[in-house]
Amino acid sequence: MNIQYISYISFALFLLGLFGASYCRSFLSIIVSFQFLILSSLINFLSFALFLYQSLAWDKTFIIFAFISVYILLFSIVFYNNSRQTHIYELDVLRDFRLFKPDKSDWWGDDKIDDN
Amino acid sequence: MIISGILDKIHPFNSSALLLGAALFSVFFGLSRKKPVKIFITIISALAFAYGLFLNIQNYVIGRVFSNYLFNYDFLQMMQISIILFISLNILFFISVNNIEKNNFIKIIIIFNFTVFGSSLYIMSNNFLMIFTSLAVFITCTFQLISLLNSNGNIKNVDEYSTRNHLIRYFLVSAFSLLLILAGFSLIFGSTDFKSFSQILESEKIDSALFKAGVFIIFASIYFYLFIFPFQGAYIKLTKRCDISSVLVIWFLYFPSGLFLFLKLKSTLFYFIEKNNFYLTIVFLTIAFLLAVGGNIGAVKTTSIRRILAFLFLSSLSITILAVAGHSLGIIDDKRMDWLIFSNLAVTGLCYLPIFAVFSEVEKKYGIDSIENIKGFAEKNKFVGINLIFLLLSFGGLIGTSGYIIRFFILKPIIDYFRNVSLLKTSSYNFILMIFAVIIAAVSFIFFAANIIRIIVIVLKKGELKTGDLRETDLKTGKNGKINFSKLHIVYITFYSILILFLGITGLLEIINIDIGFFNFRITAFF
Repeated sequence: MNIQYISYISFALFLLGLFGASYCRSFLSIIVSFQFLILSSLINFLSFALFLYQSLAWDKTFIIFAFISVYILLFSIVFYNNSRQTHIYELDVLRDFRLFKPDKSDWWGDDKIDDN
Repeated sequence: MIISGILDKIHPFNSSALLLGAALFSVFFGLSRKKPVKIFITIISALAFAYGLFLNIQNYVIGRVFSNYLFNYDFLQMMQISIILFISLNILFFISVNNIEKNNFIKIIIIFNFTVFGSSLYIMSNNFLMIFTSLAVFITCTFQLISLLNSNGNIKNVDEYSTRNHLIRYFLVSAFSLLLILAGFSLIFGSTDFKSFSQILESEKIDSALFKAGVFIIFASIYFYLFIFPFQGAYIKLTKRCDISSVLVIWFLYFPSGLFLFLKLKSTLFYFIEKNNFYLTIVFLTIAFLLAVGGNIGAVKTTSIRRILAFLFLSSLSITILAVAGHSLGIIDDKRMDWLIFSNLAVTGLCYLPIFAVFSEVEKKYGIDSIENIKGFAEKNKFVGINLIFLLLSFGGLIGTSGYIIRFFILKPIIDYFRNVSLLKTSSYNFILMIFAVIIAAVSFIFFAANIIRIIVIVLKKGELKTGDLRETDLKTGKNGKINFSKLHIVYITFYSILILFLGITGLLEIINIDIGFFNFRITAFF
């Protein structure tokens, strides 16, 4: 397998993550989409290090520190979300967390009746 | 002698170390609920911020600039840390006033100290590794801080529930932009193998498609991070519903870090501006237009004071983008662009903090966030009302105030350009872009001023009271619409009014070349 194919796979994962993060509405789907973005970056770092810059230790150091800090942030958000569960399926699982909603309410920040 | 000896030995990291020290010291009191301990911890933190600010400036004065593999400390970093520390002192004041009765107050202060520490490290970071890690830690601390500020135990009603949802959504967008930065760094690493933005310019691979893709993704991530139109939904919804102090954290700790990332990228940006200034100028002008129009229309449309301020804050970013567009057009140099960005941030802070102090007290009194609360405010609260009007006018850019100076230095190069256009050998494309820049600047400033006048009219208005009006209830209970501001609030608001007036008049005198001989420096010298 050469770097070109690996880059294609990485790019496909990136697009998948991007689509998921901007389209999905459930919390879990967004977090899973974030994992695709992380995976895509990880593949990039490792493949470039393997094929182009073999003698470097910097990429491994970056991966360790960057990934620890990213996962701390994601863990905080997931933990916070989990700590406020209501045990009502509609509220806990079916909430709309879409990052970018193309509707009037979201553009002006107006309150809707079902906006909770 | 001892003090001068200590000052000679200071290092740029001392101010950050001081913040970390204050945070770690506070940890020992983290579980305490006693009010004297809370006050003690607040004073310790305030002293750490104030002394950190002093050390930071002193460091630069005695020439302790440095640059190594991970960090860089120069004039730009000194300015950024000074702004953050000064604003942190103010936010500490707001957090203390609004949350001291809470059981988790000391925890809030501890996390706040860690947030400011993370921000100072992020500002000094030079290497991709440090930039990314410190930014991620900073966002995590900000998330913890805002969630703590909005935490009132178990969820009791729908409002609290929806606030927490909006909070999660807001930080999911932040995490998304952080992951885009990670993706951008991975591409830049692949294309150049360099580890910092300053090294990139030395590379021959700077024109490779992979590198350009990496830079584009990072700029896109800054766009999402700053919630620029049309992605502002999560930001606007959170600011409307969250705790009062968290709004200031979002405006003055979270947003500046996005601008600082932009400034870290500026050398790369300048390289591309030199090559493709026409298309990049169009992009910057479009963003400035979106910010100016979107922000101002949003502010006109709503009756919520918080939303008005949130939209106007976004709109004020259009001045920053106009400065970048001015640089791209070749009429504003590198240093002036930096100064315009800093000054805009500083003036926004200087005006917003006291304005928000007034509005937050009004909101606390009435229990709801509505522009109706301030109807006739100036009549019942004369002293604070006059200050409020002055601060609003300053923010709107009235001549003789600090807001005017920034607008002047944005417009001056454009006016100079049109004066000398016959002498300059500029292309017709550049001329058209310059006309667009004028239109956008005019729309931005006039629309902004109109919004401010709208608020002032409401503050001065003597509206008829309707049945069910909160102020009518006030009249019945004999309060007569007057709000009892604490002495601390009045001193705070007056201090800022005087400061803004002083800066505005000094700046105006310097602009019209009148030397009063009061100082041996000029506040407009950097422009």
